[in-house]
Amino acid sequence: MAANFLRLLQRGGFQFHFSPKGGIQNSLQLRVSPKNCKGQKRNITGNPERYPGADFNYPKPNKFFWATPPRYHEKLFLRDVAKYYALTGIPALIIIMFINTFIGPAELSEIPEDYEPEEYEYHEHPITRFIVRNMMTPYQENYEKMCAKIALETEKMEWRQKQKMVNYLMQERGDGLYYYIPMTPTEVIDYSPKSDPDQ
Amino acid sequence: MADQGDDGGPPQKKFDMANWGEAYTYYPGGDNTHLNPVMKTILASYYYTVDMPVTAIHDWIKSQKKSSYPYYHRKFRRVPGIEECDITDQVCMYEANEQFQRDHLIDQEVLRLARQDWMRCCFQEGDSHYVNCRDFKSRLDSAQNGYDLKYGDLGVYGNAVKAFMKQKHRMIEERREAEKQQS
Repeated sequence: MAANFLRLLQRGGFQFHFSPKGGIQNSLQLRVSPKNCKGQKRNITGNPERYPGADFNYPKPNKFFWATPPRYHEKLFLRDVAKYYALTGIPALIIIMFINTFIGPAELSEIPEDYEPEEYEYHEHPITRFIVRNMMTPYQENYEKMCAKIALETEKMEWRQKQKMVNYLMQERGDGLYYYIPMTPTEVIDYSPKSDPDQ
Repeated sequence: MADQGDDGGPPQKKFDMANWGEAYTYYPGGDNTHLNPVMKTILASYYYTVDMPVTAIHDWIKSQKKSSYPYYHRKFRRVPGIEECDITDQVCMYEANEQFQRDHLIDQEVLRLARQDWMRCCFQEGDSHYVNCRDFKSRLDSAQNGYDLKYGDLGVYGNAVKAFMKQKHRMIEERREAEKQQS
């Protein structure tokens, strides 16, 4: 498959180029056979009186069979693309059809009294419900995690502001460079394990 | 016979102006006695090859027993808006912003429904919509005006704070105009 794709690239396939002057032979860098011209059977650049909008006029060989490059590798490439699309697409479509016909979507109903629905019960399609039930975090959890993160960051912001103010004031007033370190008073510390070495 | 006064009576369906709409009804699979044989064959060929199999499959799919289970509409509690938030309280601002976005979506849908009602009225009335759809049009105009005042030029990065500031500037301008008119 990859070798055919490389051959296609070397050949320069899928040359779709539109020329406003018209004519398929004007549009492509390579020649095409007359059967692929879709109604345009003559090379218009060779007939300036009839087709005055051509780019330029050069003598036209009065040929019927043109030497054209092969379109074979384009067909092979498209077949490969279709094969790989169908390999996963058709089973997926069949599975989804069976789920839609036999399981079906949910019905909208009022929330009963004193009942808090699960996160997946807020969705309609069974596949969505499956994904939400097994693979996703609830909306409320994300919301509250965000609120907690914001609260933590605001607290850090406030403490940084205070620290900067304290540093500035200490610099300005110069009345002492000491910080308050919390320490338990000695009256409440039990030194009995340390007072007797032969314990 | 015609010479005995039997002219077949008035036209039954084909060119009866009272049943003009009904004459132009081509129901495949329905009553087509008022049509010509060509039309009958066309409709019958469509009906028996396309319509009947498709409706049979559709009804079979619909008749499949589906397990009925409920799903609910999520209800959000109202939190204090941006006008009640302290300037340093980022959590309050976050919640107010989320509420603002939810209200924005709701207002978009309300406006869409009002416009749909007006458009439906225009389509049904035709050239007389200028007269008969005035109520719908006025409702749409007021809804659109309110929406523009609140969410008008905020842009993609519009949030609750920007809307609040917009409201503030609008109220200041109204006050200034009122003072100008007084003096």
